Amino acid sequence: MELPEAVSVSHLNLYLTCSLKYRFQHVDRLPRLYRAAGMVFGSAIHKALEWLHKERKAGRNPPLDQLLRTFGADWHAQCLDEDIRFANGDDSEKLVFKGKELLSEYYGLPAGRVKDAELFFQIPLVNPETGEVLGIPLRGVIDLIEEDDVIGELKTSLKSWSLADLPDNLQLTAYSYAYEVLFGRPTKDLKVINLVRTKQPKVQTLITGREKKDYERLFCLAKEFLRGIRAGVFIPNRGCWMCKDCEYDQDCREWTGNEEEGGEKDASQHLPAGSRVFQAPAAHESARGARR
Amino acid sequence: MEKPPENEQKGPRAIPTVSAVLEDGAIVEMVHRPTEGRTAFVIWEKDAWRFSGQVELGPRRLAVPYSPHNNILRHPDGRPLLRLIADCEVEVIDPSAPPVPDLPARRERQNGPPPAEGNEPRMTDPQKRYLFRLLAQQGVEGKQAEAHLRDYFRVQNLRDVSKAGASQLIEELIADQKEAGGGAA
Repeated sequence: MELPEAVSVSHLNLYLTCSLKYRFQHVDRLPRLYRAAGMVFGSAIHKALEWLHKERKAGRNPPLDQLLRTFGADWHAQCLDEDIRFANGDDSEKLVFKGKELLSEYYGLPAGRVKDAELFFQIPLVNPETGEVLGIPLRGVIDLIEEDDVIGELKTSLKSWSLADLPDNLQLTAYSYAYEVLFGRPTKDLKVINLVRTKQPKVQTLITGREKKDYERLFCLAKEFLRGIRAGVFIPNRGCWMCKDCEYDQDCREWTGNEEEGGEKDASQHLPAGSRVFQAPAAHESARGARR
Repeated sequence: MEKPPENEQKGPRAIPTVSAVLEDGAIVEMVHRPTEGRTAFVIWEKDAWRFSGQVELGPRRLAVPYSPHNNILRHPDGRPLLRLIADCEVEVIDPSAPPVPDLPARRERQNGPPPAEGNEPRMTDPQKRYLFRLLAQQGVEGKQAEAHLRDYFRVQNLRDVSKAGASQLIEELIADQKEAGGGAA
């Protein structure tokens, strides 16, 4: 199986959560039949805040109205020509309203001086313990860098995070590692800024840090991720948190295993590399029925 | 006799504008009076508002309202899209304001990029999103922005916009934004 040209943190996270979804999305590149409204929402919030941070980096403090317009425009653009699936009780109007409430809340918070926003990096990943270099670089984007070596990672979610969620967060580890490589000094704080889409919207800030053993673990996970892809290991993780609005639900249900390296699932089937094997409709209908 | 530098020969550059916030905090919004077939600005500053036909943005930059015939305001079939102050009983405080120039707005021109043909790469999703965000920062939002883009690119569906055409418009909008006083796009 062909390896990716870089290890992206989001790809790594996706693979660890559901390697079959990783395959559908990044190896087979299956078209998405719809998008979950929550994803569209998070992406529009991100783009609006990226714009705000870049304005603040340039020393400007744009009016709130312009921030809200940016959010609304991105939401509108994403919804064009796309089938957006809303969770129960949600609709476009409600989400746009909620987004504006959250952005207004964020806008009013005291903010550190922005040194950079949406900083792209692609760096070698090295095991700090052994000096081993992963053959494929680590790639990602740091949402926000504030003065005094503080990194901000923006999130949108339906509930608050707890401090217990932070130590194993791979994005924070990767960004902290990248910051050290890029700037030659460790981060002081890693901030998760969580825009919580509850009835009473709120912005939650949690702070953590990273050390050498975290980077070692990141290296090991990335190495195993590549080994898994090379070996064609893609396994559904039915019941995980991603399943409820997964765009590949139907593909997942119809999946009957990965073909062997070289493109063959068994001796009786000759398939091009990357093909998926589907059960006959009757069989898959009955399989779906049995699951219910 | 030596010719003055080219940029001194020209007057201030007119920048069609829908809305702006000036450095001193004044808020400028374009308004349209379809009955009079004219557009103007309403300016809110120092706790008062007034009309004006143009606003100085800098030594060589002049914000002017879009033409009343622009497709931002008027559907190609002639129906107005906006009726902002059509029926307001307001007095023009500055009647000596220069008449609104009926400049062809940059984005009104007919030579926008042609639609994509055949296998030509289409506008990407990030390009589409970027265009909508850039237009929103100029006060053109939602359905208006959609209509504006369809008209500019001369397409029925934004899926038919070419990638190259989208890039070209993005560059123009960013250039406009920089000229109008910055903005991180």
